[in-house]
Amino acid sequence: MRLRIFILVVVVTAIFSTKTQASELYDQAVSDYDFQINEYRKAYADYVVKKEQFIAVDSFANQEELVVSARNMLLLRGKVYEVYWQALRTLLFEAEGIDTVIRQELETTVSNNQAQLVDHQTLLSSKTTIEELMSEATWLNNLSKSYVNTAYELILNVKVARLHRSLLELEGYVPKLEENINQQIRDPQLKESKLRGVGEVANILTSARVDFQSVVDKYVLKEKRNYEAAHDDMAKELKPVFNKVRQVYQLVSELSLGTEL
Amino acid sequence: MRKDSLIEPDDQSIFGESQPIFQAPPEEIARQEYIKENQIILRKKRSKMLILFLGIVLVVSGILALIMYQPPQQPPPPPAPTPTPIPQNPTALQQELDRLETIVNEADPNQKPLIPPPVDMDVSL
Repeated sequence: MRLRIFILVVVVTAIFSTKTQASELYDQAVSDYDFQINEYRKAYADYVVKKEQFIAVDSFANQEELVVSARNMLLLRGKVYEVYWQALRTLLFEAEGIDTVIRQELETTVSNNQAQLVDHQTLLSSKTTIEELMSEATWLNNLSKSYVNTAYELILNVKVARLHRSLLELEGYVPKLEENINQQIRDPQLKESKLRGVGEVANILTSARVDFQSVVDKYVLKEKRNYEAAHDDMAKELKPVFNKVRQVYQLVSELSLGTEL
Repeated sequence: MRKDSLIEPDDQSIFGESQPIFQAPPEEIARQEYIKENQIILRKKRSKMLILFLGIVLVVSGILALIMYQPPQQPPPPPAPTPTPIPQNPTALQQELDRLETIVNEADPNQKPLIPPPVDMDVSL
């Protein structure tokens, strides 16, 4: 019994430790993202002013100022997306239970995006005219839809994975709870009442699992689609499943009273 | 007798010698004595008044002192040491339930995602 508890504590600590590190990485990535987006906003405001000045007075000085300002703004635009992908990578790393194929595909896509953005920023730094800058800026403009779609595909899969994990954890906990009640509760009436509660929990879990699977079949492992729209629809459909999961957690917490692992 | 009667009227200096030089008239003396007596009486009255006043002051002070006096309060007994709860490590069961709760909370599909950055992706210079 003591050995079992020791092993359980070690496992739980290890899981928490890994999760904490992952959460810290994600928080750091989000912090970097917030900083870069603020820098981008300032640069964009400056670019708008310089552009208006150039339109008003088409002088060499104004043109030079516009090139400098536009280059800075475009560099920061690329940087913002670069740190954004980094944040999503940590989210992907953290999420357990994503289909292996989908995970690998997303990991590769995000990694490529980051590498291309680094190249994009290097190229932008060498551009000295408006035309050259515009040509390089267009490359990223054309990736806009693809970027948004990849981002929402990743977020959608992370949400599915998190809900799936919560279902798995609760499905794994219920048999342990039933065993503990049978072994540790002496009062026959209390035992019977608790076991009846466990039966009810199992039914809710089964129902949640069925609902979850139907949402997964609808939105995941399909041909490429518009994930931005799918994300919103899926979040609505997953909400009832989540409510059942939360209900199950509350019930097992109550039924666990008076027992020990 | 006759001699005496003859001499007496002739001795004019006797009256003059026996008469005290610059002595105040008896009315004045009586007046001064009266004044002195009055002053003595007044002084006695003042002394009595002073003694009475001091007595009143003493009595009032005593009453005030009695009113103001509060016996020194006993220092409050030190509070009985309340038994401080001994911090208990969460049980293995509680840890497991906490872990499950974290996992369930993270699974909320309505959690705000990190949406794509709001940057100008249609920029034209």
